[in-house]
Amino acid sequence: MANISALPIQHAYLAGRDEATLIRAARDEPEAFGELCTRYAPRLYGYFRARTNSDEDAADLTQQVFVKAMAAFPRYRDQGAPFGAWLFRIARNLLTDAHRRKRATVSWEQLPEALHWHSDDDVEATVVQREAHERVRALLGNLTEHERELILLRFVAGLTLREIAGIVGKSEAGVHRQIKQTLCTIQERYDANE
Amino acid sequence: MQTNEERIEARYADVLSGKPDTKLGPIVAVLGRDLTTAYVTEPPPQVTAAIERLVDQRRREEKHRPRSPLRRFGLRRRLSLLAAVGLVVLVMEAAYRILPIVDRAFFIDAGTQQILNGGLATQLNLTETKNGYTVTLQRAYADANRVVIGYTIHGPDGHSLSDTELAFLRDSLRDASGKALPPLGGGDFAPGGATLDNFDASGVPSTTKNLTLDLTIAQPQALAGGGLGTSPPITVGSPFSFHFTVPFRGGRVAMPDQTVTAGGTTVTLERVVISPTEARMYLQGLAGTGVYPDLTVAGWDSAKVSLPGWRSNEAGGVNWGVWMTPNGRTVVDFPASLMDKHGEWTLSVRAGPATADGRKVTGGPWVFHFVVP
Repeated sequence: MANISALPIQHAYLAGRDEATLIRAARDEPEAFGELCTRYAPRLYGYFRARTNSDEDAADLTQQVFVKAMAAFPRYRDQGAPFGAWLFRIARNLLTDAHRRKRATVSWEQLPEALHWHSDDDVEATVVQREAHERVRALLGNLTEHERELILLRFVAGLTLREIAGIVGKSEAGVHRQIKQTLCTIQERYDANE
Repeated sequence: MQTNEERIEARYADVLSGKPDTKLGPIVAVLGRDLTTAYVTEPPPQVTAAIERLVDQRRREEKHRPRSPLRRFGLRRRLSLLAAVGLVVLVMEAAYRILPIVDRAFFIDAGTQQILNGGLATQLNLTETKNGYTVTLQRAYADANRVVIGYTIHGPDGHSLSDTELAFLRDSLRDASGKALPPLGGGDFAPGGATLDNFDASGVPSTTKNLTLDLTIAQPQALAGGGLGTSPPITVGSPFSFHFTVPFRGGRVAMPDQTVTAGGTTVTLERVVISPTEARMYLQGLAGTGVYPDLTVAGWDSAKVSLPGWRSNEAGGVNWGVWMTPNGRTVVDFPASLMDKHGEWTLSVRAGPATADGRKVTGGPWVFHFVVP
C-alpha cells in the first residue's frame, strides 16, 4: 500500500475507503480514481517487472494501463469483471501489444542484468531480492507460459481465482485445478533440488 | 500466534482449497514469499507523477464537461432510452458470443469492426498442419493504410492456444516482390486460438487493384526463453506459409503541409490518408510518440468512440495509435471508418508523458484544420 504520508493532501482522506466505495466515487471524483490507481500500482508494476525486460518498460506499461483505464472508466461495469481483473486485462493486452510491436524479447539469462534492484542504499535488501529472484527462476524455469502466467497473476498480481478466470477465459474451477497441478509440478522440482 | 509461513498459506488459502495442505502448503509459502520479494515493490516516482497528471487532467476535463444531453429529457424518457441502449448492447454481446472465433478478434477497433460489418474481408480458409499444429488463415483485408489478417491456430488434439501462447509466435507479411510490410501492432487475440494482426500498407502503390501477399507464421528461436522460463510454451516446428491475393482498397489523400508553432515547438502536418478502416496523419517535428491525439470531423470525435461488443466495458479496444516511421515522422492513426466523412477535419495533438525510451515531446498543443478531397 502506498505510504500515506507521501500522498498529496487531497488524497489522504481517501486512504481508508474500501474499493467498492472508491469505484462509485471515481465516476465523479478524479481523486478517487487516482487512489484506485495508487493502490494497484505496486501489483501492476510487479507483474510487469516479472514479464518484461526492464524496470523502465515495466514503469511505462504501468502508466499506460492507467491512461487507458481512465479513458475507458466511464464504460466500466462490474459485470463479472471486478475492477482488479479489469485492470489486469488491460495490462495483459498492453503487454501482448508491446511484445508484438517490439518483436523481441531478451532471453532469461540476461534478465538479472536488465532488472534494476531498487535497493541501492540497502545492500542486504538487494541481496535478498536477488536470491529470491534466483529461487523463483529455478522453481518456475520449466513451466509452460500459461502455467507461469497463472502463478504470476495469483502470487504477484494478487488476483483471486475468480478474477484470474475472467482474464484468461477459463472457469474458476478450471483455473484452480491448473494452479494446483502447477504447484505439484513446482513441488516436485523443489523436492528434487533440496 | 501464526508463523510467517502460516500467514502466507492463509493468504493463499483459496489455492489450497481453504484447509492446511502439508504437501503444497510449504511450496505456496515459498512462492508467496519469493515472488513477492523478487517483484512486488513500490513503483518509481514517474508512475506516481503520471497518476497525479491523470487526476489533474480529469479534473480539468470535469470542469469543462458540457451538461449531458440526457438531462433535457424527463426521468421516464431517460430510463426508456437507457433500457433501449441496454437491450442493443445485450443483443450485440449475444451476437458476439455466436460469432466465429476469428471474427471476435475483429472487435478490437472500429475499423476492423467495419471490415466485419461491411463484409469487406476476403474469405480465404487456407489451412496448413505441421507437427500437430493447424493454422487456418481465415480472412484478409487490404487498404491504403493497412493489411488485416485473421487466423486461428490449434494444437494437437484440437487444443486452442491461449493468448499467452499465441504471443510467442511471430507472423510476417511480404508482397510479391519480397518486400516486408512492417507490423503495426494493435492486433488482438480471441479465446479459441484466434489472432488478428495489422501490417502497414503505406508502401503499396495507390494504383494497386489486387495485392498478392505471403504470410509466414513462425516461432523464432529467440523467443523460446521469453518471460521467466527457458522452455518454449509450444513447439510448432517449421514455419507456416500462406500465399494469397486480396483486393486493395484505395484511400483519400490530402497533403496539407500545414505548420503550427505552439509552446516553442514547430510541427508540420505533412500528409493525411483516409482509408475504409483508418484515418492516418503524418507529422514532422515531434520528438517522439508521447502525445495524445484527437480527431474530429462532421460530428465524429475520436475521444467519444465506443466499441460495441464484448469489449464494451474494457479498455482493450484501440481508439488511436502513435508510432514513428524510419525517417522520423510521427504517425497518428485512428482505426475507424471515416471514408464517408466530409467537411473540415481537425486534428489536435497534446504533449504526453515521456515514453520508455526517455523521449519527451514538449510544447503544444498543436491544432490543424484541413480538408480531404
